[in-house]
Amino acid sequence: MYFVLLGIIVYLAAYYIYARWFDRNIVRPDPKKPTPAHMYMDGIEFFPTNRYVLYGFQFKGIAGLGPILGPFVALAYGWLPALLWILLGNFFIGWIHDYSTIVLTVRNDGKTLGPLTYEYIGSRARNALIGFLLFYLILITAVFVFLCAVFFQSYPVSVLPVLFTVIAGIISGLLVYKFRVHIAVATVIGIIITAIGIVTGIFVPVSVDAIFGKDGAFIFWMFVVCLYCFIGAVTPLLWYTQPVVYLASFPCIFGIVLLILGALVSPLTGVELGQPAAKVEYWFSPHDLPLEAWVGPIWPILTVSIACGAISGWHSLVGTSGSGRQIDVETDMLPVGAGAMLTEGLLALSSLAAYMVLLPEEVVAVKWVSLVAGAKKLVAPILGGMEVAGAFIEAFFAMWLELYAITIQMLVTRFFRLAMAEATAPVPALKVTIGNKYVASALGLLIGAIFAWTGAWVDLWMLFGGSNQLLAGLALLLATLYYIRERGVGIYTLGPGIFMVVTCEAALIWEAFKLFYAVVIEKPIAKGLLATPEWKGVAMGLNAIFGIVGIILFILGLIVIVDWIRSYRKAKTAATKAE
Amino acid sequence: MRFWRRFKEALKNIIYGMTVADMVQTMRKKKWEIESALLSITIGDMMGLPVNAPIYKYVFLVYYLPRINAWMRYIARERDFLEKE
Repeated sequence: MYFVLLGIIVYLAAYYIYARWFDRNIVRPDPKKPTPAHMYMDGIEFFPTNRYVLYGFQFKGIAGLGPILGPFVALAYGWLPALLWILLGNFFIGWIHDYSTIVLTVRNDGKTLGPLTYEYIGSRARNALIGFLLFYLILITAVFVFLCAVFFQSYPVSVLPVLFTVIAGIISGLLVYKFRVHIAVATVIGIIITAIGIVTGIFVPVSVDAIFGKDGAFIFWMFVVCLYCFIGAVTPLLWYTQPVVYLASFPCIFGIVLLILGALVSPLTGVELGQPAAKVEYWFSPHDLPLEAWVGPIWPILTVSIACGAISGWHSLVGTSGSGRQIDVETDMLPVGAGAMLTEGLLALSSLAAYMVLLPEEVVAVKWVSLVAGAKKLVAPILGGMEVAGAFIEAFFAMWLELYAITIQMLVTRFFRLAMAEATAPVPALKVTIGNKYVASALGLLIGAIFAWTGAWVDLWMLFGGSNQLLAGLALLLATLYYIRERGVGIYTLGPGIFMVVTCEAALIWEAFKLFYAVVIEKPIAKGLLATPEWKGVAMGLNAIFGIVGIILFILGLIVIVDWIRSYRKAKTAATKAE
Repeated sequence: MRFWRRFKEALKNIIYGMTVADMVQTMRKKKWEIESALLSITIGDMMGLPVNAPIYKYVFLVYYLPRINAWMRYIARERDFLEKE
């Protein structure tokens, strides 16, 4: 399997040929022009940072579970379409999205996505964006809470490592902030505790299936995950969330390096493909599957299923609120924005490789946690073989997935309560009730957990992917307005932006249709307790709610698009007059 | 040799960015919030805050001087909801 090598070649070409051409001819960065980091230097949000530090910061902010789990869903069409989308999507759309959002921030006084939308499009679009973000954050919560609970249930060896990592994070934070211990010492202590947790987890797997039954155990693990995230959302950053995220970044980086290395050397270690290249029979029809069990047509579903591997709207949030304000010179924008995104593409390719080495019966057996089984096959040869390192790799990668999901979910729950406070600000009665930080955090987690309880993970993932990519499409359209105003040409972001917006709106409509169809034929998409006849009404109700969420996201996206079209016409007219 | 030195330096910075940088920024923000509160209660009248300016603010002023512009921008700048932590 040479995919990672192919990816390196394609992405180097994307960076050194296309990206550099675009940078020199369209953006034309001026190393002498002061960036917001210099103009507003306050040493807190605006301060110039070394480009390599910022590259690492940007990569860590954007690399989540999307590129890791998304390729699994796309395998429904075979690995070839997934590979092509990760390569070509990143080549033509992904890096230009991340890069352009950073350019937008740097050239507009460090403004974030909301104020930029207000300035370039209008207030209605900005309000629609806030509403869009609220639903988007609930969908992320639903998907991640479901996945975390499934990981805990499927891999009892991961429970104690995650708990030990969280405790290690709290201890490291206390050592640094309270006892003024050197960060290096606190980090080493934290990593030792994490390592002890991994070994303990291998020998003491924690399973509650026997106590609560399978469905009860799933609900129990969802509660545990929500508890981790609730504490992270309401406690001061420095005491819990920040040190836990900091300490978890070490095993996360180690896991990324192992996965990429394992995939890169797989041609030498003799790991073979187990999946078919193209399942053409499922590209345009359900074939032998009932409609409600089919993921959907290859367009638009392929692009939204691989949520972050090729393009992601989350990156525009990270780039505009973080990295963009720390750019030292304008020439750093390209390596930070484009470089980090193309590196994430490598991570997506490595994750795809991990799924591709599994035989079809292995995927069916372990389903959504297949990555752990695939990572074992890829990584074991470089760590001494399955007999020597198999148990460690399994515990490590199960913990790795959990940590990724929980650390991101802590931040998502924080964002949700901030978005809720903003949305309820005009109505004082709502602001003190559901705008309250404890209530908002609990509400976001509760709604997400109820959605997750249905077990309709694939459909929730598609709604999440659709909303995520739609946000990216909207950011590309925003960048188009900037390029038209400044350079008179916007085709390089307009084409990808229109493609993403049309594709994602189609995907949202498809998912809404699928969910309403399931309700109409009285075969709700649900698993576990909700799949029983006694709970059918509840399952159908929840499916209908998911469908309505899909429609709401579609409408909110449409509002932004309509307002954008007006702004685009004005910008085009102004650009033509200027010529 | 120079290449390897620069490569090691770049790798060190990348790992720093992926791990510690976020924590450092959070600590800076928390420290700044406390400093900003102190500036607000001593020289808040410069921003129109109804502060009964104590006489000893002139003692602190020489230390505040490098930060006054940054503090004023921090107070007056419009914040997007994602920044309102």
